Amino acid sequence: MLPYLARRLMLAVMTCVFISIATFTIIQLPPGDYITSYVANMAASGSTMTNQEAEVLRRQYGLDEPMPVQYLRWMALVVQGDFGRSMEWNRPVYDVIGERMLLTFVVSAAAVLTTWLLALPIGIYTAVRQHSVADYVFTLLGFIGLAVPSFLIALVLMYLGFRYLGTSVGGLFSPAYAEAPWSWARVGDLAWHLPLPALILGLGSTAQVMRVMRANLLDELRKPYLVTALARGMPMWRAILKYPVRVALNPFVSTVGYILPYVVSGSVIVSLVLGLPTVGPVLFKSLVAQDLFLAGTIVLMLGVLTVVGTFLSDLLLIAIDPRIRLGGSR
Amino acid sequence: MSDPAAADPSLEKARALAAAGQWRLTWRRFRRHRLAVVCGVVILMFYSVVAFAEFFAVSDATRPSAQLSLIPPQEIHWFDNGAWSPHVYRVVRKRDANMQLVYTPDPAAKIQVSFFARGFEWRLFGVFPTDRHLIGVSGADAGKTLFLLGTDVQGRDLWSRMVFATRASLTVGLIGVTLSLTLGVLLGGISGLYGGVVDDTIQRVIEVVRSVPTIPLWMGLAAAVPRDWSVTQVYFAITIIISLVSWTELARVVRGRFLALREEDFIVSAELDGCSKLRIIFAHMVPSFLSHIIAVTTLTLPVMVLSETALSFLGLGLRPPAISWGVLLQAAQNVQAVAITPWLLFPAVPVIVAVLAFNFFGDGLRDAADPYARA
Amino acid sequence: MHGPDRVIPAMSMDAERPAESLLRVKGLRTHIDVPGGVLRVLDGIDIEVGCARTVCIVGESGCGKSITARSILRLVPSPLRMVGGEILLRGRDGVEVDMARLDPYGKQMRSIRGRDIGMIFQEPMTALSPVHTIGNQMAEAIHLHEKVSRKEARERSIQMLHRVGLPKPAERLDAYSFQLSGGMRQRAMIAMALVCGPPLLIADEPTTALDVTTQAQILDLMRELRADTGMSILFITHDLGVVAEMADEVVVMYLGLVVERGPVAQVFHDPRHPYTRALLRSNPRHGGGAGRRLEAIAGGVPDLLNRPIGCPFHNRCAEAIPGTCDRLDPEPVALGGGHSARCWIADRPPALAGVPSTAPRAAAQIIVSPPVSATAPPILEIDRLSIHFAQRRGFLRRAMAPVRAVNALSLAVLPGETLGLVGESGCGKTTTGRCIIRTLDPTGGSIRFRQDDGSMLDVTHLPGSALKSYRRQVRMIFQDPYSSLDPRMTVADIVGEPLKVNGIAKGSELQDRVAALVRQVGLRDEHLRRYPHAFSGGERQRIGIARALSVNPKMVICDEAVSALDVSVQAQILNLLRDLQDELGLTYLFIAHDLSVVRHICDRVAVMYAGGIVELGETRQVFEAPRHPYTSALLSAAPVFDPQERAGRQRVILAGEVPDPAHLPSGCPFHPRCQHADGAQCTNEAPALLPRATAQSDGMPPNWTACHYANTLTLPAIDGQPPGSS
Ligand code: SF4
Ligand code: SF4
Repeated sequence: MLPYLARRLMLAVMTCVFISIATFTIIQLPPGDYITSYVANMAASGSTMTNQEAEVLRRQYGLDEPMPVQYLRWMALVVQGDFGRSMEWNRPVYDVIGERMLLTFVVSAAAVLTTWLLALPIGIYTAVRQHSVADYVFTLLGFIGLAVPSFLIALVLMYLGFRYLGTSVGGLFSPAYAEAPWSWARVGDLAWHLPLPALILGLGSTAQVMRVMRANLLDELRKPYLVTALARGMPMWRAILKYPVRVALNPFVSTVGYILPYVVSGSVIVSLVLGLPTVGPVLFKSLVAQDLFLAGTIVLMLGVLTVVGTFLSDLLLIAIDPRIRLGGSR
Repeated sequence: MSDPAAADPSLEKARALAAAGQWRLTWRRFRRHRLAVVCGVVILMFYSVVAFAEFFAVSDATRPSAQLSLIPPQEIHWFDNGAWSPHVYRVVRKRDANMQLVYTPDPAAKIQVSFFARGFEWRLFGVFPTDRHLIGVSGADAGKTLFLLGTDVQGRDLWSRMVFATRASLTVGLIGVTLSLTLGVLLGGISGLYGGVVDDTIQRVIEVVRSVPTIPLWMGLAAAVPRDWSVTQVYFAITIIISLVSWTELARVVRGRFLALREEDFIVSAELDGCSKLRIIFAHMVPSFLSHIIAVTTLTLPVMVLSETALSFLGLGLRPPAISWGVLLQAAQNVQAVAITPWLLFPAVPVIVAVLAFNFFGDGLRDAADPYARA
Repeated sequence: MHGPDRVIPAMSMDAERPAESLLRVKGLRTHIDVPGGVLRVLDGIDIEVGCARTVCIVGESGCGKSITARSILRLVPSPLRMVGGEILLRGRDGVEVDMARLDPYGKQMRSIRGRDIGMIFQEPMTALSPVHTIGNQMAEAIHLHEKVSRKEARERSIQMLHRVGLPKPAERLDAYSFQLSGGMRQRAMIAMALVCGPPLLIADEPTTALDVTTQAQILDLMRELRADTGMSILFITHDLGVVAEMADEVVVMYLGLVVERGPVAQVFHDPRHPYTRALLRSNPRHGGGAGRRLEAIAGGVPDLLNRPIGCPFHNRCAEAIPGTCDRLDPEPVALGGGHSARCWIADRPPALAGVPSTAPRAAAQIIVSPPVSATAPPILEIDRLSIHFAQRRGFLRRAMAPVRAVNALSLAVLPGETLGLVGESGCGKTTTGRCIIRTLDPTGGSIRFRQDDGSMLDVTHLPGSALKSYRRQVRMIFQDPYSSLDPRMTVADIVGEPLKVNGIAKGSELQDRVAALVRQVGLRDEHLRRYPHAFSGGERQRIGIARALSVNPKMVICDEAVSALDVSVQAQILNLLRDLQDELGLTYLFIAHDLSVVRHICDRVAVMYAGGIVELGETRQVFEAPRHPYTSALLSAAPVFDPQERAGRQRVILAGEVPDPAHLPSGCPFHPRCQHADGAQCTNEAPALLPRATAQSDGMPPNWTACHYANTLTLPAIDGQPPGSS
């Protein structure tokens, strides 16, 4: 168990470092920096800024130092929980995205849960009743779920909602609660709005996870231990649920490792369409405006969120799989 | 055929089967997947649109025309008084009481639609000039009269734009797949062949790349593509960005097959037979996983197409004047706009159809390539 | 085709029949639908299991024996379906129920499974859940059938585990199957199946996956349990030796039919069905002698799709009557004493007898193999060969104890001989073979090969091109005929590959040589264009042999070359190998775990244990006068072929299992399991492999033995006889 845990932990840390470097590189890639575009904006709006003024600003933000230094400085601050100031919003980054980050997390978690809740029973059913009509129907639906990107589903649902219900179906809160401070009523309102985005986000990965579950369970169903259980006198469904399903659950849990990146990815773009108050729209705006600290923090946080989620699923796997718990590594 | 036993058709069949190589067996198994075969045909059709986009287009898709903004799709009337005579009604532009533009068809003004009609001039394979098009109107400028799927805000024919978008979207996929195939096969092969530290390192890199949420990363990378790059530069930049992630799956498959095959007795025995390393790899190993790679590649294509669509949809991928499905869908970002002009959602249809077709096709291929499946 | 009402009159009338039968299966038919027809996997099976009897179902792969077991429990896997027949089980109240009429997953059937019939399977690893503890699965079995408290269930489970000889049962109860060794797992399986005390146990190849010493332990345990509990056993196996060990009655199956049945002694000594006779005679254990050609059955078991019309065996039957057998399916003929056979000539005394009842008759029939000159210098010399594998674990790749697969092994192979390398799994025999052919590099020691000019070639340090030419002289035949042929090449390409890549032949010469080779191994020219998937296991092995011989090698390493084959096909391949040796003067290094095969084909035998040779000598000498306690135990663990001998047999049942090569015991690696270990020298000092003369050597060169006490111990030989008594 320990080697396994150590391996997964190392991997998580490595991934975080990789993400941070990638993020930083991305932000440094465009020619010019925030000041350049700031100057350009000012020029567009008629006012001018001298080169000297620009230099002062640059020094103020530390933009004149070598890249690795800038990276390390940024990382040092990030580790302390100081994400810097958003130049576009002129507020600390934390203030801009704090609540949005939380909501992103809530939406992603809800999407993963939705995925599991849908995929598990369907996967089990289609595997046990292989080649039945339901199996084909769900397989077909699964493929369609795979083929239709979540933002398109969101778009179509928005359109239908707007067209036939006359209201906007997006958002995570009713207008009354959108800006309100947190309260139980607001949580309730969130819970009321959550299922739709969770479903939209979850559909694509549901298709994948369902297929994973089905394939794994089909393998397990052929294993002799099921027959052994039946030969002891176990009822069919009880035996299936206790043995093959239980074994197939392990790869199922480890699917988090790839549905989470997928869901988080999807949430960014779906949030834009549905107008969800998550970090997605902010990321978009900040990238367009080349707002270094803000965009960097968001990409980094999303990456770390994914890594943490994946690591949690690894822990869950340890808890449920004795082969990992008691064996060496896998 | 002089053998009398050969006359027995079932025996003949069994004999043919016995002498059938793996490729033929794979093909036999594939043919049994009806849906996959149909999807293969659909994919062929898509790529013929890619190759002959101008032929399928009705009009030049880039020329804006303020007078023709947001015309709804026209209905084609196939018969005129019971006789075969496909035509559309001329669209008349008016402003209603609220000063809103409305277009109404004028049943009196029939415009004949013909197939293989003449239209704007284009070059087949960029060489042979021609002006034939699949659909056109006789004796008039199709760009001003024929709007099968309506027009966009700038008055450009949506059908033609979709045809050209197909070219961009599906080639991004192809080029991207080629890139990630190269990367994947190379790294996966190295990983599987050498093992040890090299393998470990590549494996870790793959795991890291796979656990990063792609869209934020892509958004960052794509946003970093300079604004002043040309359409072609952006096109290749985006392609590269997309393939940065998708090679991992291919690498995993290649490595897995390599490792599995390395242990196979027939590979060991090829070594004992005196085959050189190169011969072992190319005469024994590659043929036995080529079909798998083809299948996985086919399954990677739709991922590429979707990625490009998503990025362009956000405005971070291909940029106008380039046309892709994602670029077209950008016009549908605003729900209010879509509610009034729902036809702007049309480009979603080819996205879904193409991705579905690739998935079914690839899945069928994968099943057929599985040597453990029944012959 | 055959109604369920068809019974064998002689059977039901018979006086010797046990007064009460526990299970009666009549006309059991299980079919499978395929495109274009129905495959009759079971085509009317009749089986009767008496109280406290052991009935063995024996047959080659594909005969339907496992499906029979599953059908009786009404657990046939999905595309198969049971279409008819009666399965009458006498319940605990003495009333017979017809299980064939019950809902297979209904309550009544479920209460029979586990409580009235227990079942154990071949692969204990996959037959136990990997994520549930042994105790969990045992308790489940108890709770399903009885209302008992958890504590009580636990106690009963512990008792049961204790009963099947699992050490520390209370701890093992909370273990997972992957924490147990193969033998332990099978014991746990048995405990699980018997925890509710079923009167009938169905055992489906329960020892096939086990090593021979472990198999002997499990068979012993089953016999003991039967004697204690008075249960009946329906034992399914492909191994006639196991049948001779276990059975009271035998049922021989072929293509979904019972072709012969009867008391075990009668079936073995007076087999009336040509298939049974052929099966017995093609077994290398039969008669026991080396050098004799085996009487193989022609062809292979046909596909169910191409089931022959008339007697299903007629296309392979040496005694078939033209005009009758190929048109009319015979009925079972009662022969008295519960013996019956499904053959037109069953009541005629056979032209060829079955197994002689006592002394091996074949001992006199030795066909002289090319004399192995004791003075000829060896063709291959292995000197203190060691092969260790470094083990690294975890992220930081910490070095673990290395797996010491082969330790200071020395061996000389003489030209023209067949040297057997035997041992249980994990003893290092395959590793040694792979190292000789240099697909593995040795850690220490040397391997030297004698070339035509008499010089010795140091194989351990061969550069690429020299290695290539060495590998033309020493070739290898693999165990698995399915994976050792490239599925994407035709037979012509496969056999021609070594000729081509070595630049030996090309063009039409290549074609001619390939065609000649293919004919030499008993295939036809028309096979050349086919791909491996079109061949049966035996034919594929022939292709592998042709490939090995294509470059005129001097020596061939046969790595378990016949162990994946059915016994009738195995005999064909053994005969072929022997013929080729006579023809081409080949030297064989024959790696195998099956003692009877080794005894049959080898001139000399080296017995391996824990990476070293413990005994080496002339085959007859090793088998009849073993000097090492392990050899003796191994020999006596192997089932005897004669049911009459099993009673008076003196056997050595080895405790424990083969040691983990990463943690070998000190001193003599065999000492933890050796009955004769002295606790001092044996524990501390590794014995050397030395020639040890014995009184019984009768002129033959003495065996080389690695045991401190080889000269003083009296050890039983094969068939459990003390040396000299046979
Ligand atoms: S019936 Fe004929 S073919 Fe069948 S086993 Fe008897 S003799 Fe042979
Ligand atoms: S040396 Fe000792 S422990 Fe080893 S086999 Fe001989 S008597 Fe047994």
